[in-house]
Formats: sequence, C-alpha cells, structure tokens
Amino acid sequence: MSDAFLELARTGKLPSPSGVGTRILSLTQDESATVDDVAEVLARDPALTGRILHVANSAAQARSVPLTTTKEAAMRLGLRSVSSIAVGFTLVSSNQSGICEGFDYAAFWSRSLATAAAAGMLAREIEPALAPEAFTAGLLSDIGRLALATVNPVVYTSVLGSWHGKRTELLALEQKALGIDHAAVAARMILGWGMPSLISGAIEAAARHLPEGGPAAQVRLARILIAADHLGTHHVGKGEPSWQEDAELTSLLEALGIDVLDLAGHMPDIEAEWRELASDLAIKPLPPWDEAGAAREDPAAPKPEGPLILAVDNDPIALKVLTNCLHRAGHRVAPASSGEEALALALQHQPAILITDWQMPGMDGLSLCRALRRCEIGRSLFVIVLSGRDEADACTQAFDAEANDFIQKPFHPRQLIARVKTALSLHAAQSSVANEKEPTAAGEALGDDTERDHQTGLPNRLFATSHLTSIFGSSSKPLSVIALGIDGIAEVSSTLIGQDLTRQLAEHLKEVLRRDDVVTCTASGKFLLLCPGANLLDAAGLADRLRIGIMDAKIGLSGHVEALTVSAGVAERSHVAKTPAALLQLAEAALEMGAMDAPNQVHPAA
Amino acid sequence: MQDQPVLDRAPIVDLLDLGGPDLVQELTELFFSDTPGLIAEIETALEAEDWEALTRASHSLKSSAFYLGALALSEISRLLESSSRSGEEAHCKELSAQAPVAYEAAKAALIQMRSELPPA
Repeated sequence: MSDAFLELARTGKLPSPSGVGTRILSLTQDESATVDDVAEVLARDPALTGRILHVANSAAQARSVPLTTTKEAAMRLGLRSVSSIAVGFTLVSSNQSGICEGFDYAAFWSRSLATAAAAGMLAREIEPALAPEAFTAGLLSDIGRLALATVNPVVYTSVLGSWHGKRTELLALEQKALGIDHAAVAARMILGWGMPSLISGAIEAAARHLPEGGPAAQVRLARILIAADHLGTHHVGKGEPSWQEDAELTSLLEALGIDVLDLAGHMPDIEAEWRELASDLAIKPLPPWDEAGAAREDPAAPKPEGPLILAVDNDPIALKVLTNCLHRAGHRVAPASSGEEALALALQHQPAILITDWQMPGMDGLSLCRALRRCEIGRSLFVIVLSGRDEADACTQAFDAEANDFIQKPFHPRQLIARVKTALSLHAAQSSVANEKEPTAAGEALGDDTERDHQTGLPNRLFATSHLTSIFGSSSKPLSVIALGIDGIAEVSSTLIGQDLTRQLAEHLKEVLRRDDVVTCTASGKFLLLCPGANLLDAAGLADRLRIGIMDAKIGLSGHVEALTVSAGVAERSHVAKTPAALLQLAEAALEMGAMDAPNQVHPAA
Repeated sequence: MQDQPVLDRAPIVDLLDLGGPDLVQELTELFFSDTPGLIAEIETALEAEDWEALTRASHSLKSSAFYLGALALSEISRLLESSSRSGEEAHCKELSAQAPVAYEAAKAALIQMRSELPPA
C-alpha cells in the first residue's frame, strides 16, 4: 500500500523545473491555455527562447523557413512539444550540482545533452515528426537517476559503489536499496510535469531495455532512446571514430532501419550540436568514461564554493521554504528529510552550519545535535534548532542539547538569513583561528574554541554549563547566577546593531568585574555571571550595581540610539535549583519574565 | 477555530518576497499533492487508535498549512495534535471530520489567490 514514488515526492527534494519552467507547467495543466499564453511566458526568458528555437529549427526539416518566434515554434511543433522542451531545459539549469558523493553531476548533464542531440538526429532520420519529443526524451532519459541521487544521496552513493556498469543491474540495485528504480521514478516525474505519456513511456521502456509493448510511436521512440543512449555513453566526444566496430550499436541501429555506415554523415552534426548545447548551458562537454568503478580521468568538475549549510526538516513544505531562503541568499545547501539522513550527510560533507527542525519521527533535532557534538566534526558545527513548540523551556532544552541558536517556527525569511549570516561569520572566524594555531596545539585550541563566544571573546554557554557543573557541589558556601540581558535585544539580536551593542557591553563587563568573576556571553546581548560565595541578596546587589554602572557608561551607538539598559534575573542554588541546568534556567526565566514587564531592573527568582 | 480565516495572505506575501510567484506555485503544488495523503493518514491512525501516528501526521499538517497561511486548517491540526497527545478520541474524531472540509476550502482559496498573482 505504500507507494515508493509518493514517499520520494513527499520529501520535497525531487528535482523540479525552475523559473519560467514552473509557469509553463501550470499552463500545461490549464485546459484553456493558448499558444499566446505560452509564448508570453517564454518571452520573459530570452536565453530559453533561443534554446527552444534552436531545437525547433533542427527538428524541423532543413528546407522549411526557419522559425523565429516561440509562437511559430508552438504552432509548427505543437504546444506540448514546445512546453516539454522548455521544462526540460529549466531542469538542466537548476540541477547542475548536488551533494550525492558517488554521483557525477557534470558528467551526467554532459551525457544527457549528448543523448538528446543523438536522439534528435536519429528521429530526424527515421521519423521527423518525432524529433522534438526525441530530443526532450533524450535530455530527460536519465532524470530518474538524478532524482534518486538528490533525494537519497547517501544510499545512492553506496548503490553506485556496488554497481558494475550494466544498466539493468543498476535498476535491480536501486530497487533493492530504495524500493524503486530510476526507470519508474523518471516515468512518474515526467507524467507529473504534464508531458505526454509517449515520452514517459518510452523513457521507462528504454531504461529497462524493453522497447516492445505499448503504442507503435512509443516503441520507436524507445528504440531511438536506447541507441541514442548508447551513442551518448560510448561514442559522442570520443575524438576518433570508434563506432564502426561496435556490434551492439550496429544491431541497435538496425532495429531502427539505419545502416551503421550512414552514421558517418551524422556523427559530426551530433557532436557539433552537443558542444553548442553544452556551451550555451555552461556545461562542460566531457568525453565518455567508464561510469561504474573507475574514476573519470578528467576530474575537472569544479567543486562548488562556500561553506555548506545542512538543512533538516521532515515536512517537505518547511524544507522547501528553508532551502529556498538559503539558496536565494546565495548559500550552498544540502537538504535532508530526517535526523538519520542528516547525521550521515554531516559526517560525509562536514557542513559549517546545521539548521534542523526539532520534532521529527525517529532521530529528532536535539538527538541529532547531541550525536554530532560527540563527533570530531560536530564540535565546530554551528547548530540552529527550529521549533514550533511553544513551551517556555523549549529554548533552554535546545541549549542544553548544545545548540548554538534557536529560532521559532514559522520563521520570517529575513530573520533566518540574518541569523545564518552571523553564524557564518562566527564559523569563518573560528576556522581562521583554528588554522593559525600550531598543529601541536590543535586539540587544545579546539577545546578552547568551542567554549568561547567569538563575537565578544568571552566564554560561552558551553563553558558556563561545564564550569558551573564543576563548582556546583564542591563547596557548602552559597552559589548564585546572574542572567544579564540588554533590554529590547530580541528586536536587534541578529543584526549588526545587536552585535555591536553586545561587544560594547562585553568590554564594559570585562573592565568592571574582577578577574576571578566568571562572566560568559551566551547569545547576542545575553550574559551569564557565575557568583560562587554569593547568596541571592549578594548577587542581586551586584546585579543592581552593574545595571547602574552600565547606565552611567552610556553604552550605545554614536548619535541615534538611546544608551542601552539591562535587566537581570538572579537565582541561588537551592532545593528548587538543585542541578546546574536548573539554576541557569531559573536565572534566565527570571530575566525573561521580569524584563518583559519591567525593564532596567533586577529580578530575583521567586 | 471558526475565528481563524481560511486563508491568511500574509505568509504568501512573505513567500512572494522570498521567491516570487514561482515559489508560491511550487509550494502550493506540493501542498496539494501532500495534504490528501496526510488527511488519509490521520483517518487511518484514528481508526487504528494509533495516537503516535495521529500526533505525527497532524503535526506535519499543522506546519505545512501554516506556511501557506491556511490558518483554519492549521488550527484544526493543532487541536488534533494536542487532543491526540492526550488520547481524547471523541474530540479527535470530531476534528478529523473537519479536516477534509477545511482542506478543500483552503485549496480553493489558494487556487483563487494564485490566479491573482502578478506574472513572474
């Protein structure tokens, strides 16, 4: 009863058309859409228009008058053909890289373009009317593999690792590991994009190497695809002609009624079209290589730049919003739809930032965070937990799991981007600090680093927790904690203003406090002071002196903002606050509750 | 929950700001293809008295409906999530019967909203 394809679709990670492609998709689903509607949408993307006209003109007979507008193309080739070509091209533009380690994205598209060019040519030879569909089908003939690699990057890497190179063997491996194979995935996706069943049926049949069965046109198209795939995989771009001695190719072409020797006149055209398409789409035309096992000789595929952000949510819509936010802000993103998948991806790709939803079936966001903190790479990772939970202690629980930041769901895109920006600058600062250290001191530096707030240079929450734990039971003298927060920081915490105020206040605190007072910065504008030997009254007194001192120091931005004020929450170790976490929580709760009603005051915990 | 509007446009405005009509188009399609399955899951879980599955499905529905501003549906899911946590069967049944109706209303409103979007 479970449908493996729907499961894939539900992750929200299947490759999908972008930009104009999505508008075309909705038009093809609209019965009343006309040639003019499609032409109008296409007119917004001149580059795409150029590509469509190019394909349309090579599909049309050479003797006819060249087509110059997409409207003419749509009238000559049919609306659906033109829409399919458009959707196919936007898929190329939006899926040129990814994070499946075993999957060669550059080679994938290079070969898909070769197959498209070959399929278009073969169709013109035997059935010109089929040429535009053949081109689109060639371009998308392997889209199912891209989809599996994108949705299940970790599993698919191991599938590819155990593959020996036969097409049909790959289908069986996929079925075993993922419960579905690329032939079925491709057919379902293509139907879902409103393309004709001629294309989806032929692609599935060709991928299974079972062209027979189905309508006559579909059988012919499937045969064309099998031969085109063979040409694209083994011959296009090879340099010296190698196809004359290829017995398999000879029989594939024979099935189409083409003599292999006739290829002599066509191979240069296929090669030329392949190179032209590749340069137009900014894809490197790569020579054929043995995909399974042996690494490609030309490892020139450029690695994408920039730190990686791992985004985790089991809800496809939330994941899509999250990855879209990050993409549009120019970040490199790896999506994951479960905690388990995220853990595997994090270990493999070492992201700089992890943004994870809290509540997920199986491994939830906090378990993921804890698991990663136990690993080497997880220590320098900046973790942002997202949650729709409205309990008051949600944030504290997240910090207890050693998350660095907490964002309430649903978030505002701008808010998220600002927090990520801060996280990235912290990560960059941390990496450069780590690189400067002597190699022998690396371990020490890391320990030091993870317990320091990089914005202020003060120790952070991690340090506060571990230090408090170490002194908590060691003396019978009283022990108190002061939580200090800049009033109104929530509104500016992720902005440069917030960062600047936090830095200024940190400098002030460093000056006025004695060397052995422990002051830590736990978040933008938030500080924790550990006061061994002080009871509630002593600590409240200290907090009030600090508060007045801070007002007198007139900290703020030159000119336009009023001098900042702080509120404080104070708590003492007691039968209520009988653990370090409970003590911190009590002080922070007193601050949160108090600052809301009465800012610029000290609030002892009840 | 009658106070909650079928569709609040503010989240859509945010999404438009973020990714233009394309993103709204894509997310609504995802919502239309995903939600009937979630509602079916809710019904199956309720029949089987599988409270955990019910909590999980209604939590998912609450979140995706909220992202698209389908507040009435999101509110029903929220109540369903909390009732399923406490195993209030009668209340769950009542809410789960309202979910498909709220979904159809949200769908119609989203399709209407989409047709009013500016071109990409």
